[in-house]
Amino acid sequence: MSVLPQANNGITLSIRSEAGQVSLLCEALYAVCVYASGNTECALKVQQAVAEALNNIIIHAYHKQPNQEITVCWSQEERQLRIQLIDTGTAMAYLPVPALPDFEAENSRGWWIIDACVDEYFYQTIGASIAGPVLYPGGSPGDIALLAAGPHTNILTFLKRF
Amino acid sequence: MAAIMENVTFIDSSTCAILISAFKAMQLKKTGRLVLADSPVVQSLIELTRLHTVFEILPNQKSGIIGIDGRVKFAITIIGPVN
Repeated sequence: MSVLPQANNGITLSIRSEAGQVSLLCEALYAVCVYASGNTECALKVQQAVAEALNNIIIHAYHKQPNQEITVCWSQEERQLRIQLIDTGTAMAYLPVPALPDFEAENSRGWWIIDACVDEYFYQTIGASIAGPVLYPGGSPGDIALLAAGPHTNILTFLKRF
Repeated sequence: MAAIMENVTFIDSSTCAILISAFKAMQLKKTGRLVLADSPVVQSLIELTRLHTVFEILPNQKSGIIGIDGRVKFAITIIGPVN
């Protein structure tokens, strides 16, 4: 039995862990979100959040190694969009508190943008037979050391209402 | 100097990094710099990251910048260093 989420009445997109593929996926996702919600602003926010998350996965989960798979599962639940970003790279033990850095800092705006663009987001690492705790932004670190040492899947979920 | 960001349909926070880097370079050289955009995508991210408090956003009609198609564009002026 697969512990990975199944996109019911949804769409699954997949890219390799290369920065050049992020915009392709995001533009496709934008079109899907516009079609589903009829709201370009909602779609733009989803696009911006997903772009930041994909960049984080490429840099921090896959350490800029190319040819690693990233899967994005999109589905609609009445007036809510659910987007799951799935990777098998280095797992996060916690979701950081979204904070806007000082102006002079050139990076570290990703989680701030994500937090501003979606209504809810949470993260979970799933191993071969067990699942780690669901992590929320600013929450306590989860004990995922054993999970992360073996084969695992990381799932970052965004919920966006419209 | 101007960066024309017409028809931009996708940007991410790395764009912010480039704009800030340009701003810091401008501060070092004590010269002005102008960045242009007519895309809601660009404006959205600039406002989301509150960079509009540093990068002044002006309707292009005000700054005399209107596209040949007649659409109003936006000018993002990077404010010069305060002496």
